[in-house]
Amino acid sequence: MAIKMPHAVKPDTDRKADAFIRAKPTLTDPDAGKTVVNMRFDVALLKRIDEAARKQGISRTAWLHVAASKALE
Amino acid sequence: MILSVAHIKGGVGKSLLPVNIAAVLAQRGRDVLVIDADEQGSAATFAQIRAEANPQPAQFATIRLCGAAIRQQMTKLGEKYDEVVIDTGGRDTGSLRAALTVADVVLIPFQPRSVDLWAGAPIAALVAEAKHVNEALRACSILNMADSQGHDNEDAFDALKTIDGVEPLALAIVRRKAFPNSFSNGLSVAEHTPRDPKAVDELLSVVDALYIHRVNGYQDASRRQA
Repeated sequence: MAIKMPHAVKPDTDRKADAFIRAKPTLTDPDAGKTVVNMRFDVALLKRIDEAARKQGISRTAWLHVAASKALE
Repeated sequence: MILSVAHIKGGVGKSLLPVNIAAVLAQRGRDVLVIDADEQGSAATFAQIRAEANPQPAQFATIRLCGAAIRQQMTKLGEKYDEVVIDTGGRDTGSLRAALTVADVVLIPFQPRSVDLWAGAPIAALVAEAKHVNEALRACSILNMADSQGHDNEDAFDALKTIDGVEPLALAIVRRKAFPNSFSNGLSVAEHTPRDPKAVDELLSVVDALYIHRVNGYQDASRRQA
């Protein structure tokens, strides 16, 4: 037969592992509801953003999220 | 080797260990992948800051995975890297369980506090359950955010010895500012200035204890700098 269903039959270990893993819920995908955007940024401004983010110990993305949220409030 | 740093309890200072260990391994020339399976995403943030650091320290790859995907992806990714470090959140989740099914070693940090040590029995039970799937899993415990003085560390170590199926490492990571300070700059304590020699020695001792059979094969530059 040319058609093969790869997960139709799982080895015993995989089935046991699946049961073990699924016994507890997996938290929501942290990236769910988010999208990737490409933006043109002034290099000097981006540098200042990175420096501000670094001082707060957060990522550039997290810093921009906070700044945008504050601006919209 | 696949190392998972895991606990079912939060607040044990767990987030600092995986990235510090990964950074030391990268500094030693190993090709390292960090899987951030913690919803807080601290390891991914650390890696992002690290990538933007100047001068650039030795880099490691970081991806975010959760649940059964960790087990599925590890079958492919595990072969591509010398070392894999998985950071799971401080709860019993599908992600933590998936990590236990693929890890060679699970490192379980404990603070030298009664309430933390009480969590020893349930995490040991979970490890025992995981061994039905992953027979070769080695479980180690370590005192983390330990006291710089007093008897609580010794008492806690004695308590760790009573946890079935979990081997206590005779080491401790003491609560030192160097850890959070270096973390916020995307660096391990071994790379951070001002250098805290005690913190560096503690970290490198943990890495050596976990990777001793692999350390002998390559140059330990980070230890020399200490």
